[in-house]
Amino acid sequence: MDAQLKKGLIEICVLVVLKQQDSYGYQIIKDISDYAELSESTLYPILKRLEAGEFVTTYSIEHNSRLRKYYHITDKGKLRIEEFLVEWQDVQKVYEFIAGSVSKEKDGGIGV
Amino acid sequence: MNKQQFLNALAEALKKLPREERYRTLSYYDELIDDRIEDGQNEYAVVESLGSPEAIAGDIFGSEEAEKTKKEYGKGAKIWIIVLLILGFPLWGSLLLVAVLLVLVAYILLYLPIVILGALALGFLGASVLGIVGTPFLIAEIGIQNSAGGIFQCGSSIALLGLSILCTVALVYTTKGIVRASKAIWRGCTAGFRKRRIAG
Repeated sequence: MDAQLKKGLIEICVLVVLKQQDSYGYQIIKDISDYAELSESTLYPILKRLEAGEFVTTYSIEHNSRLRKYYHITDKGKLRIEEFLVEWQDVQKVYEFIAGSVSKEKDGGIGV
Repeated sequence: MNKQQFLNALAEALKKLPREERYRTLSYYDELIDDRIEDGQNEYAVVESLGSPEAIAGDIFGSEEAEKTKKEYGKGAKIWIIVLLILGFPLWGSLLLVAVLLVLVAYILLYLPIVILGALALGFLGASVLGIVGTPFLIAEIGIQNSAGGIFQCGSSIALLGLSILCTVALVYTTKGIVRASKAIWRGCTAGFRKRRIAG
């Protein structure tokens, strides 16, 4: 998958995971890895960007005598998910256009 | 590589980042490695799967391409800086000389009061010792009947001794003050360099 597109999609996936409940780095990776391949190094800049954009806030909780950083989705973050769903309808239209042109070509090929 | 070695290498690779940013990155990886170990994975395998610290740092600093151009630019710029330094020597060399001399003059001026007070104290002390020791000889010379002159000299010499002591006391205090002041000036001059070194 295109790296830029993947980044954008995973950003939304992280927000969706956090919408269910607050979570931490490793858990987020595990939750998302069922749907998209995701490494620690890919997630880090995404979390950083989400935090900088105030889509999430963070807090630390002690776990086994070390600190774990938890991420919490903000209202702005929830709004971002809604926006994505609307935007994706446009993407869907473009997809259908592209897929349609490919299948037409195939049809034409068979015709000749 | 174990976790600590990995984190050390990553810290080294991220040296250029601001301290706070570097700390955030390190604690992110620290936490993730701990979580995966806690999940039953092998420490070395976990570190292995993360990739090299240099590659991670590269991702953080931006795309590889950006870094490449930066490197090329860095090489070219370095050569130009060296050339400019050599060509500009007559200008910055003389400016540097002036700056060094100005600092030197400032220090000399600063320490001048110590020299003056010291010379005064020594001079007064010498004069008073000479006067007091010389008093009996003077009286012997001019005769015991005219001893008023001798006693006057002795008195003045004792007064000079007093002045010498006053100068010494003043010298001690000014020295202390000036040493403190010159230390403060030195700190002020080097503060800029130290700040930059910490930021770097």
